Amino acid sequence: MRNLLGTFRSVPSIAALIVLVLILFAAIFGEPLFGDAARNPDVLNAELGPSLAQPFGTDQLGRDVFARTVVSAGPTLLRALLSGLGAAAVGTVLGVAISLQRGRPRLQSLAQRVLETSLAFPALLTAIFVTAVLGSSGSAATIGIGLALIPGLARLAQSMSASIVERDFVRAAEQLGLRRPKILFREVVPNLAETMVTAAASATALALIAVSALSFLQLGVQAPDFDWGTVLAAGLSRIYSAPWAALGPAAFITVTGASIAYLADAIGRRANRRAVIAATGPSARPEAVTGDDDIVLDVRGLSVSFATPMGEVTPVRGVDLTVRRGEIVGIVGESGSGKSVTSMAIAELLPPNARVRADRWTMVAPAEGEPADAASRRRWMAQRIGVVFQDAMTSLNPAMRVGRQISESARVHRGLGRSEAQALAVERLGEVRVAAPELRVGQFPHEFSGGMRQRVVIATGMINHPDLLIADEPTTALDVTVQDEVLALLRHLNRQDGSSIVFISHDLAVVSELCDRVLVMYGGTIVEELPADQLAEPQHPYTRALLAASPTLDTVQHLAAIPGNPPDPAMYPPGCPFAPRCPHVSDRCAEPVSLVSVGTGHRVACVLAADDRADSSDVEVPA
Amino acid sequence: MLRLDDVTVRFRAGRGWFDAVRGVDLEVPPGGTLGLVGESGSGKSTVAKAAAGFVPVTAGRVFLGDMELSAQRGRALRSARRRLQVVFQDPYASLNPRRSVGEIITQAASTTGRTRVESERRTHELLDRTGLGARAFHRYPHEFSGGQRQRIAIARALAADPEVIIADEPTSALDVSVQAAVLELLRELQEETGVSMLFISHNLAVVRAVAQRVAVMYLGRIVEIGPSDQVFSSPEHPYTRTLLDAVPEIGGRPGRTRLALGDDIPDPRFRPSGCSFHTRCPVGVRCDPERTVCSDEEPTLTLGDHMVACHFPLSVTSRSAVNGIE
Ligand SMILES: Nc1ncnc2c1ncn2[C@@H]1O[C@H](COP(=O)(O)OP(=O)(O)OP(=O)(O)O)[C@@H](O)[C@H]1O
Ligand code: SF4
Ligand code: SF4
Ligand SMILES: [Mg+2]
Repeated sequence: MRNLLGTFRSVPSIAALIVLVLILFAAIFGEPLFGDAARNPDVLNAELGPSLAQPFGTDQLGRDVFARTVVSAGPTLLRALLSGLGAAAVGTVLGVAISLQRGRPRLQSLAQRVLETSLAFPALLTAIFVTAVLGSSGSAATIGIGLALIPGLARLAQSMSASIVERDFVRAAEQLGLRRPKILFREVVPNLAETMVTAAASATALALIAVSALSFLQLGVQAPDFDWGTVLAAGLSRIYSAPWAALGPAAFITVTGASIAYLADAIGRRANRRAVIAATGPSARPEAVTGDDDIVLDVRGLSVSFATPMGEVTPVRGVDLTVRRGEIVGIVGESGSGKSVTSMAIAELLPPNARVRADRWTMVAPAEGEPADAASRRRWMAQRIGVVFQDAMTSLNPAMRVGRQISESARVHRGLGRSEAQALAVERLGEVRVAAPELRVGQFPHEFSGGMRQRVVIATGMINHPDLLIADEPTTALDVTVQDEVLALLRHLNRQDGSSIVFISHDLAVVSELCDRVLVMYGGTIVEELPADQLAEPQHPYTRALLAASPTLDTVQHLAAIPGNPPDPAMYPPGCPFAPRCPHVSDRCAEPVSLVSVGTGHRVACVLAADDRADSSDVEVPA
Repeated sequence: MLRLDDVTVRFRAGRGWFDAVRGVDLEVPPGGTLGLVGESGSGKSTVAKAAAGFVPVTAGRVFLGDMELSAQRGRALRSARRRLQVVFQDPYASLNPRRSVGEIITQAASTTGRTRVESERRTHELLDRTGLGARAFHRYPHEFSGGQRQRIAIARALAADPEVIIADEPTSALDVSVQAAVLELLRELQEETGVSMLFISHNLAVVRAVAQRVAVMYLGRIVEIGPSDQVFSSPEHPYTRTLLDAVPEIGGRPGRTRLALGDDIPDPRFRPSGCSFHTRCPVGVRCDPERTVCSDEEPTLTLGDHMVACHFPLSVTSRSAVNGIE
């Protein structure tokens, strides 16, 4: 209920709500207040113009048109509700019933075909036909419109519930041996309700218009009964001499219909609402520097905050990341540790509610010097950094040819023509070792296997031959064999073109096989940085725990789970983020800890490591 | 406990048909765990679905204890299904978002004929046992992380007092540390309740950690099956070997010689002749033209405790031959 109230908080929603309340009043009190004025003829005052007492004037028999409009609100609305809600109820039951016939595919497809066919007829035509056959009357129109609305609603309910029925929780209920109706009632209907309520409201709005239309065509209520449609028809014959007699009831129909439709839409939108929040402030951006050509990217003290409905959260807090030319840097960490946010910040791909800060952030400028205006800067960025996302299936558009998707960014940013772009796509597909690239570019993603698709995504990221390729869990969804193939490809691209790669993963073993250097992230900070070949002997308690939790082919002993859960970015502890789960925690861990060097290329953010360093004097002191 | 006897599952594909699972024999030992591994598209999940009755078996039979599950209909089937529970891969799709955790588990507990009070008591026990805590009872699935949701799903499965649990990739949506906790939980619960388990995963290291026996599937067929120790340390089938070789390891495995696959897994609708693996096999006819038997004749599983379906199992092929073809 609170949900529903929340829907009505915008100005148009409030206006729509007020309209409906007024109409409801008219429907209830219209008859006792205006009944006489609406029904009793007064021939002497026929066809009067609008006045204060009779704002829409009077009709051919001298009856007050306004009073007739108000009085007929009740019956009109009642019929609209009956056919709209009735159709929604019947449609829901029908749709769900069809979707449940999985065991009888023939019956199901027959029913679906009948639905599709009846959808092909215009609803209003169906309504007119049925009403005419039943003998024109108010009830005939109600039934006709209801019947006409059923197929659309049934289709909606069918496709919705078909997708719910396929969900695992319904399978689980079946596996418990529950009866069909119980499964339907407990598992399917609650997940369907919101959509169908919205659809029922939309249907009512449509029915309102249709009821009026049928009466207007003399197919609905017959004299002496009347509704908005007949009042409108009576007024329309004099539209030039007395426009208000027609415009008045027409306005009632339109405004009421629009209000119901708007509210239905608002309820629906609220159901799918996602918070949209403005940016919290200016974000930092990389500067281009001419100079050390060996360093592709250098960022210090990178922090990212998001404005959320619960206030600002900062999932990345002070990350340093340096990538040299030709280097593969791995970032490992658990879900929510900030790996993706870090990499998206570097690629400048964060949503507008994000705010990025950095102490220093440099990238090497192109030979022709630093780009001047914003547009050329964006172009430059797009060419410097390529991105490969985790899920090949969702990052490819199933309806677009592969070649086009690969070359999209080159067309946008480099203004390449069609054939040039196509040629480039063929070249890149060849580079990611797809056989017969000139044939493959014309195919659609579903014609590729999982591993091939991931190559396509990599080719997309490589289109501009970027200096830096960011690959966010590109192998997580893949089989070991395909993963092996993708890792080999990344290695090959790195050796051949000297492209640098930032490779993100939650799998220590994958990172150790591919990368030169590894950053371990926890709670939005880097807790350990080490050469990949030293991953078997990490020093930070978190990295050690992660290692002990990773199954290997020789694991026969128990896996050591890490107790507790990773910290929520909204509530990071002030000191070491791992403190709540660390077996070595002490009072000193409540103070912020920073990375200290414990060996060549090996830095650890832990008070224990700092102790060790103080004990031995032969380790290098960090700058 | 759970036994699949020559099970075939046939699906319609466009105008024709293809066998997603072909003549599979499997047995999940009482109180033990059988692991099932293979690439995506090999038919692992179809085996699970056929065993659980989500898809009808085209040929062959599924037994639960002495009862033929695949022959049950109507009420008998409904009451039989309870004895075999499933833990699904996606913890976000397997819990009804509109029902509280307590309702979800209590409903499962009540299917065994417990009264309402008894079911709720059992639910509290399970919430406690799976580490979710009593407060979880009135909360909704969206309030929990992936790992916690998987615990809820495990609690639901156990609430029905099943004899067999089928776990289809139960940890592949989870983080490593969470995965370890869920695997440990499953193992402890198995020790306590004696439930048997069919554990499906494409992650060989995970299967290694939980299963006493392991079966390897390729294009709808079991190509190797045996005790985990033996299959993992001395695989007989070239496919098993290539799978193991593809597993990344921290620091790499010393002295590892890798057998690499030729190609992607073929479309199961167009299964290669003879041994289905011959288009990719690093020791078969693709690499040794004299071994024409690979493409002509389909090998059958040998007999014994460690079984393999290959004309040239690796222990027979000399090591030098293997290394030479690499
Ligand atoms: N647009 C956003 N608005 C608010 N919070 C966000 C947004 N994007 C990410 N976050 C939060 O930032 C934190 C870090 O997220 P991130 O995606 O970087 O984690 P990750 O390490 O990549 O995890 P995974 O392994 O699950 O991909 C999470 O708590 C996430 O909820
Ligand atoms: S700083 Fe303290 S709590 Fe953090 S990892 Fe080190 S010992 Fe553990
Ligand atoms: S039968 Fe031949 S092709 Fe098949 S796995 Fe054995 S060696 Fe390879
Ligand atoms: Mg991520």
